[in-house]
Amino acid sequence: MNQARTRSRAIEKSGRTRIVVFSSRTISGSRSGRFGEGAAADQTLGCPLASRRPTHAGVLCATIAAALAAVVLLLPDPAPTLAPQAVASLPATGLGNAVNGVLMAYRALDTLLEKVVLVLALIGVWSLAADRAWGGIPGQWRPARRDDALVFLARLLPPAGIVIGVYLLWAGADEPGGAFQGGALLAAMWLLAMMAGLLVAGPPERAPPR
Amino acid sequence: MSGLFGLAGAALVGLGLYGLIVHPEPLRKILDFNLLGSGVFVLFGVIARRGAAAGLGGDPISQALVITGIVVAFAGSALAVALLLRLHQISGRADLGADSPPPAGDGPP
Repeated sequence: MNQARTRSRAIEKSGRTRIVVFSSRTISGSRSGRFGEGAAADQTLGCPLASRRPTHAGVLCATIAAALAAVVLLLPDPAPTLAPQAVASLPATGLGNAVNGVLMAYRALDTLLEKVVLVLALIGVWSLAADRAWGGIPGQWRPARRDDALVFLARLLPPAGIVIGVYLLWAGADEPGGAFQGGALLAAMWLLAMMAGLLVAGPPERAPPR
Repeated sequence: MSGLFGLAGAALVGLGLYGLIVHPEPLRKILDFNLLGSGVFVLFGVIARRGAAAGLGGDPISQALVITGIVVAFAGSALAVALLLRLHQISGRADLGADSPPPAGDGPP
């Protein structure tokens, strides 16, 4: 009721009021739009307004983009950097690569909390399962159709991919690489085999015939 | 060269923000949010490149922050897609029409 009144008032009044209402719903939409509540409010409050007047959004976003570009391009000439400090303490960490030194030693708490975020997201995804799926084994998933090219690639790539992933993890101490890149490659190989239907995360007797 | 990448990153942020505002569909909002985040990552890369010193190609602090940011963005996007998928399973629709009730017959079994 209140939202509808606000919207009609915004439409009736001058364009300045419309911009104010619009920008407030912009903030709410960008803050919580990913989790649905803000998006739901968008539908009732401002979405017709926004789709009818996308020019305001365009002007706003172009302004923000221009401001960001100006900030990045007009950095002071000796740009602010922490590289000398990172290199100075690097021998104490036993690592040869500065980026991995930051990830594993200087900002280790950040890396730990990043893993906590991953676990929380996993728990969130699990908790979305239907009631009848509880107690089962997660990840039972059949491919929609067997694609011959996908099956071929899923048989060809994982041996090399697993070796390269382990190598990236190993080489990350002194060269560019590390846990993130190696883990992403290993997970991609596993997903490739699962998507091709060669690997099922369930009991062996339920595996599809090869 | 870093100026070109800076412009590209700022343009990505602008495009993602525009799509986030204009599109009402949740899937598009997720995609636009990722576009916005990619722009931020590119900007971080440009700032890291500008801070190259002490024999390194870039500021390692900024580069490490980008990696952490990518992981967190991935986790958030996966959770958002899972929420949207569950919404579609329950209500049979993938949009957020708050005013109208879900159509009869599409409810949970």
